[in-house]
Amino acid sequence: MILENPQIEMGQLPSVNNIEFKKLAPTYKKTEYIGTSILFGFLLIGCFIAFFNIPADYSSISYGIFVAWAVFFALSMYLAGKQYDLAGYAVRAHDVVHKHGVWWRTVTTIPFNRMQHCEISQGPVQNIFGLATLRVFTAGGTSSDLTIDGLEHEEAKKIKGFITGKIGPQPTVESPATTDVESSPLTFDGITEEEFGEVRDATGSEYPPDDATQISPLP
Amino acid sequence: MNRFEHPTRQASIAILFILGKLFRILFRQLWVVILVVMFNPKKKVFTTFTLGLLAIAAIGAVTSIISYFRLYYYVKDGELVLEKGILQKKKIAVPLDRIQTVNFKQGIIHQAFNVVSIEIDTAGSVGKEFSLEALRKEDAEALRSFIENAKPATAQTSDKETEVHSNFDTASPGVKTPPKLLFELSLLDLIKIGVSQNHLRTAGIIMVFFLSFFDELEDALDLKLTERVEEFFGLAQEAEFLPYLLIGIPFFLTISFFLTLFRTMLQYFALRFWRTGQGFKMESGLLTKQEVSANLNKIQYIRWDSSPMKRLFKMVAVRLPQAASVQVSKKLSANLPGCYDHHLQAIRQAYFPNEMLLEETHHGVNWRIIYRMFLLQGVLPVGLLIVFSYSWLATDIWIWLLWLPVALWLSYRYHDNWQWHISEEGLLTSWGVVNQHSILLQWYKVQAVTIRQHYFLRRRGLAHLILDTAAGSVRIPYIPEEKAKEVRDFVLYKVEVDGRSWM
Repeated sequence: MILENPQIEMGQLPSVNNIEFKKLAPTYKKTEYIGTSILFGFLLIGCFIAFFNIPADYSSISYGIFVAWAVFFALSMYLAGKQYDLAGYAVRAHDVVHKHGVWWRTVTTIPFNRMQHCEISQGPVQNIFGLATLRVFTAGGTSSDLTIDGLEHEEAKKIKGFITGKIGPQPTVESPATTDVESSPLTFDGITEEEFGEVRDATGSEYPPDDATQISPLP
Repeated sequence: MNRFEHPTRQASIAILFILGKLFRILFRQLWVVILVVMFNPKKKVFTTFTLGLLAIAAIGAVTSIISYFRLYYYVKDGELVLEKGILQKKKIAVPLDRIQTVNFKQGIIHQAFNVVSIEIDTAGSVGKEFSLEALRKEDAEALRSFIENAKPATAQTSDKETEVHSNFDTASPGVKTPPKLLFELSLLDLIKIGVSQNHLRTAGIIMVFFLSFFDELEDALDLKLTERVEEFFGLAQEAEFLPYLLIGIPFFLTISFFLTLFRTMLQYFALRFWRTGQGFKMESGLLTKQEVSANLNKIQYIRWDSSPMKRLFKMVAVRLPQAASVQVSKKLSANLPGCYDHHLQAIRQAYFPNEMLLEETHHGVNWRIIYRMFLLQGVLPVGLLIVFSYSWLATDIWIWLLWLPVALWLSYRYHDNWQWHISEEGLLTSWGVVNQHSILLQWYKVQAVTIRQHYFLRRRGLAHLILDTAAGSVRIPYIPEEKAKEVRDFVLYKVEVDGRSWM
């Protein structure tokens, strides 16, 4: 029991646990594989150079180079795939959730009313594959910024539009508990809530009903 | 009546400060070169090199003087405007209600000419904070009170602010509450603080400074100092430096002790801490007088630390981290080097008025944190020391192993001391064995919540909980995953339904 005198039952709170994370773009997995392969391609060239420069008496070591290369290549490919499988994001009615990492698993949640702005960036490789990176900025320093790498460009634009709209008209002056979610309609950049995707009730909770809804940007 | 509506230059003495600043920067960058020129072994004074140096200085001086004449400030349409630039005119306009704090600083020369340098911090917008080198004191004070008085009238956000302030301030907007002196530090207090500062850090700084200084000096002047010293001491015979070490370390520590004491006394001389309508104000300094203010709604959390020496004096050092861009936050942070418990209570009361009224629950961290601390404080350093001493001295120094039981005891104590208390509105964490730390945070200041686990933590069902604010993060390590998630969901709920402005 975390609170002895809770105003509301802990169990009724919308929980991040129960939401379904959306996966990153499948092409992102492909680019990760390609990137890893290119890197290890270069390393393989290096291995060959080393192989032909090692004196003959150390031949056992020189074969070992290729074994090490193969092991690390396999490991990196496995980790790249695993990283894709474990990463995910969710846009809810009041916040954005992002999880990532293989060894260090991290789940970060930033409420809309603490976001300053957000931006999309696209590198040349990302451009080819139609991918984009979404960054959400909070105030002061960079410790609490959120970076979602490997989104489809269209999807990133939709989320950005949604977030921008959310950040703008905030019912900030109202007192807590009376914050009216209905008063800020979820229509931004011409995208209505319905178009944005189905609205799921994640927890089946009663308090406050809209807090618990999760909006999945793409059906 | 707006007496600042016409573009005004700074006080003319500002030229002196601008030039002084320029030469300080030049000297800092080029002092090696200057030394070489001055002690030029060939005794040729006016080489092209020297001329180039003089030319740089002259150009810098001229541009600085022009920049003084091209800099104006004025208040227009509820905005404080700064115009500057030599070739390209640059205009910075900040709405008065976005100005968070106006800080004064007065060095010894400033005091002689009765001027102050002024720093204006805006609500965390990067590139919009600005400073003026020298204003006549009465002008500066008039400007500040003008800004402060303009606030409630112009500010659209005043509702939000009063909502926050009404908790602890009954004053209605527009009515200025007179600042109340919370405490001032006596000379004895200052000595206590100076004595209990971190002397090892000063020693480290001195060491790094001298090492780099001597290196550069040697290179520049080709002195071969190290070799001579080595010859003199006969350091060529190894393992005989132990006596020097034994003399050198206490000597070094003594120097750094007095240096810290001296610096603390200078910087915090006659420190007075005020409670103002907006937040806090701190004045201090002997040679350089500074005045720093901290707005309550910009203060993200309160942190207090104590070393064993500080605890002996029953004192704590308090930090009030404020939301700001990184460069500003360092300059403007209102840090109290030491104060007594009832002072801390007053600050806590102002930041979090309901803290004592709310019921709270107490929690600790998982015992497995002992492993981590023992590894970090015991096994790792001892292992490194043994390897190093073996490879340098070629002797087994197993004496380092004696550290292990101490480290184990420290790790146990670390686990026992890690406490966190949560209530409806906020969090209090405290940790540390030798140096003890505490953080008081209100939920609505949180900007992001993160749960992190590495492989081993996940296997044990444990996690770190990280609460990010606009001025750094508060961490709770090694707690059960379920608890972490419960707290996260609760904090998110509190933040998402809270309408108060958090910075």
